Amino acid sequence: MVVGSTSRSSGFVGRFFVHPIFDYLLIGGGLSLIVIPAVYLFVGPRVMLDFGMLPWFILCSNSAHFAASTVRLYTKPGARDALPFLTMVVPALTLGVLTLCIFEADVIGRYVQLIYLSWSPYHYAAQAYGLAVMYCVRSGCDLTQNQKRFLWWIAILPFFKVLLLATSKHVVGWHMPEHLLWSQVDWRGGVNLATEVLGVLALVLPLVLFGVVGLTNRRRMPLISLLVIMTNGVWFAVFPLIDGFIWTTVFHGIQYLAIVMIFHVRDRMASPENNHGVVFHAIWFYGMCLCLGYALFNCLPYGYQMLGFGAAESVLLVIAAINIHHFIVDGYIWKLGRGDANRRVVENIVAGAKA
Amino acid sequence: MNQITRRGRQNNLLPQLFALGNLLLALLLGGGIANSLISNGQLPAVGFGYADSLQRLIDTKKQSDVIPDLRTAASINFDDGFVQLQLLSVAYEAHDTDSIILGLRGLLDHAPADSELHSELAIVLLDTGRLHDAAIHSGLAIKLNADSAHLQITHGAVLLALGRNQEAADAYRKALELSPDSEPAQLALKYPLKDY
Repeated sequence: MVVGSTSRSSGFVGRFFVHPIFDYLLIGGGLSLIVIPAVYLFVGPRVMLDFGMLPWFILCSNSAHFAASTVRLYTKPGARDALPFLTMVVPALTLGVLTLCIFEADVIGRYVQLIYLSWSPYHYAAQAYGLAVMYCVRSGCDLTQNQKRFLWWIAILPFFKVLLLATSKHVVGWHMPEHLLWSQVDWRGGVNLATEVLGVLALVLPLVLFGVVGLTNRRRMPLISLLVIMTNGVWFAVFPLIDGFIWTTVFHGIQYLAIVMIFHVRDRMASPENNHGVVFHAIWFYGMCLCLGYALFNCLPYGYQMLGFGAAESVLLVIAAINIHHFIVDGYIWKLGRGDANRRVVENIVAGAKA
Repeated sequence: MNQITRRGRQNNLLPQLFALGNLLLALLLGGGIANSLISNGQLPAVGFGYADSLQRLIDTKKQSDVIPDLRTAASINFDDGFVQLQLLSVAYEAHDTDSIILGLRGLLDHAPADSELHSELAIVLLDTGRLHDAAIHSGLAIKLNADSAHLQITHGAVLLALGRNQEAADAYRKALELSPDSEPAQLALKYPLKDY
């Protein structure tokens, strides 16, 4: 893996971290646009139900990616001093809240699940936005505040689509009287139409912004910034809801692992005490993520079953808690404040890009 | 002086909380691995954990003993149609009406335009005396599929229970038009609805 500090490129391609193919396929999500159609074409739409290897794919990409935010939190230079509550207290707090929720699984389990399922598409959208802006910064494309704001709202359109769909499909039924829920008014049709519109906007508006920036800014947006936003839109706008979640799970995980490993490796290589090469640091990091991911998702639920809780609440609420912990941690470890280790990685060659 | 003391106490407390969290996690992980080795003879498997566990329960336990676990699974994982189906299947075998209703409602979230599900739910609600809710679903069933004799019969039975006899007779007559040999429709029009 090439992690040199002077990854040059044309303005259209943008300033990549490793190699254009690596960045576009893994970080940009381009791999999903190749794999998913191929799978549907050669295997069929039921692949999600019939694929025996799916749990292993999920372990190697998704479970590992959830663990990656924790591994990054505890290996990122300066994180412990900068985020004492997050590093020291939140793990115990999460376990405590999780245990309380499992005690009352029948009553509040569905709401915990709802929080996790709702936060997921928001998290994916926020990651897409963050990556898009990061590549713009690296490529010397100075987005204005309005353009960033516009980009943000475009990025979270898939989240709104999923939220609307999930609310109308499930949450409404939990609280609405029967005669309203199944009334003559075709409110479901209205919701479906609204979600279709949101899906179309999620795919069209990124192209509009790309064109506007290209016409008005000194440097155009790199293509990878557009790709990241569009693939997130495709995952949720094109596929049925449950399929979208599973595909996103896998490819978002790959995307996250790629970028977090780049940051980790660069931090380690920049350390004066470093005695190892790129490959060692990459394998070490991923290995830790895989082990921690396996432990959290596959072993921890058995721990709660040992305490007498049922399989369903143990597995489902552990998954929800790990997700929510990851979302919280992720909100902090990617900040680009002055002096932050992340900023050194992102800005490493911005001066060269602007020349 | 007080600030330094308070900061000092916080600095002592945080590592202790961290150690506590790690200890709890280690105990749960170790216990989980031991639990899996004892109950399954292997390390925790990579899979969709609770689905396999639920299936093992269904295969080895009495149906009525499995229902609480299935209800919990269906309640938490409301987005999983398969677990709603599992609950429904086991609930029918165990004649657990509440769980049947839960399973049917869960499946209807996934397929709100399924006339058979609506009709099935109407029958169960009718059996439990929830007549108005039954009428909503039986009415919706025939609206979604007006050419089904048995859906018309179900709707007729619900309306009859509600005392809406003329509407019930109309539904049974519609059933007879669709299926002239339908015995339930013939019987209903011959006896309770003779004058309608």
